[in-house]
Amino acid sequence: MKNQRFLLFLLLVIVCSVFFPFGTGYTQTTSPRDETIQSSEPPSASDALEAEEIKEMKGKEEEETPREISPEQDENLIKKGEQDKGKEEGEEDEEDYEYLEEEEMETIADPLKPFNHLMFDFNDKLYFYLLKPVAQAYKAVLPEPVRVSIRNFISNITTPARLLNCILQGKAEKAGIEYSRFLVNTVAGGLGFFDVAKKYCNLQKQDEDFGQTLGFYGIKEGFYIVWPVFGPSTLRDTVGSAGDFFADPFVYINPTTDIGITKVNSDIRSGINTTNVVNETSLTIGTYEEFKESSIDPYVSMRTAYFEMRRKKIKE
Amino acid sequence: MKLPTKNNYIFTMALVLLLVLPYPALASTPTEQVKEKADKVLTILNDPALKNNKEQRRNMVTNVVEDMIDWQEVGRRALAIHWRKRTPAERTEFVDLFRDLLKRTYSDKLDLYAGESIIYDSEKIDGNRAVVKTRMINKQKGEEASIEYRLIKKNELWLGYDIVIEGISAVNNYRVQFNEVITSSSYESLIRKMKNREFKIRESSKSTKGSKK
Repeated sequence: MKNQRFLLFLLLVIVCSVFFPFGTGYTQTTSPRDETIQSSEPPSASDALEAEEIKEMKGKEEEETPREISPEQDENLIKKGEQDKGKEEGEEDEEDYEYLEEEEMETIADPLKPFNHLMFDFNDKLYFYLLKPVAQAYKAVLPEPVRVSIRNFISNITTPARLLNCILQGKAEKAGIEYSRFLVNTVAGGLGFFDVAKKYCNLQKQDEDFGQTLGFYGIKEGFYIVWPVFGPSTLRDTVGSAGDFFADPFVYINPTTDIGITKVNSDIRSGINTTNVVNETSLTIGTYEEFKESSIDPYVSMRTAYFEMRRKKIKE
Repeated sequence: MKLPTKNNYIFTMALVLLLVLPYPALASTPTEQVKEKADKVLTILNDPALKNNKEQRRNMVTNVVEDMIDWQEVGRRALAIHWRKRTPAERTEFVDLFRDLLKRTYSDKLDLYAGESIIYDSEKIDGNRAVVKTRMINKQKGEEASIEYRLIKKNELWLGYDIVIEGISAVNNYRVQFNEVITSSSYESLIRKMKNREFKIRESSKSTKGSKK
């Protein structure tokens, strides 16, 4: 068992060393990230605004003169089979192109769609028929402050993964915050049951994971994958989750209790994970239902949301 | 020399008026406009008298929020490239359907309100567009969500056209969904789906809240 884990860890190290050049130093490793942001990231809100503004201004300047249509736009026009372009106002045309651009940016690779859709439906059923009833029963037994404390506790013991990823991304300030949070909450917050660091020291939890670290170093998202039970992910984030698995201290702590007849392996990690899932669900009951009701195509909606959320987190 | 009390009072009133009067004439900033509406919404949500009358509460909030949104802009952005192919009548129909869908889904979310407060972080104005960044804080759960309002200036008023929650743009999300439906089947089937959804949700909210498709 121990050997197996060590081998897995070794494998991961090899994978990691292939993915990012450890030896080349920090200044060099940051450059690919900047490149990807320019090339593959969709423009941020303000960027889009700026671009739009510039376009609109240009549109006004060129209102009288016939506007130039770049080959790219021309292609799009042909693609759309657009006939009444003359009828439309210049400004609207410009903005439509902006949408086009945005849409091209948002194109998400989803070659596994049939599988993913199946898994999405599976997870959906899992939520309504298993997770939700369990979480509701759990919610009925434990009052909210207790559940929030459990969330805090789990969040505190999973600090190593976040701290490690802050360090791997060279984010000293964030790493410092995570480190201080761990100390303050463990000592003053009763082993992490109370988030005193946030309440009194205004130290916010820094949500960094291995998937984000990979993204930070310019690893592309790859395609979309919906895992049974675990939900939406990408190729990169799946590798990331494996990394986070090894940053979990409870992977290495596994006390064995002798109960006489046989030795029982108390798997703390899966216990914590299960508690975490049920606890989180109990605190967010209703969110998924609302999400589903609000969407025309829940599968597509979740996919878009997942990518947007991850891209935002990597940017931070 | 000390002024008589009455004079003092008048003087103070004048000063107050002087400070207060010019403001309605000036165009208020995007943040002020968002805040004004949000404060109204929070007052309604925190009203203990309305707590048990969720239907009335929803309607009141929708009335406050409705006129601060540029529905035409929302619809146009959500349909994106498909907007241009639509006739004016189709556009109106679509905007109405989409407005109903958004109004309903977002007013449903109001029932999840649990004493959250709003913090206004920053504002960025760029010509006739603006972004107001806020955070919604739930003290009880220690949760925080970033909410970004995107606004467009129309007749000296800032109207919302998108809301970005935790980096997820509502309009963008719908745009991708609509595009998927239109490209995989047709615009007509999108309209049918939207109408269907409307009908189904009305049915399900009449009985118990539907969880299945």
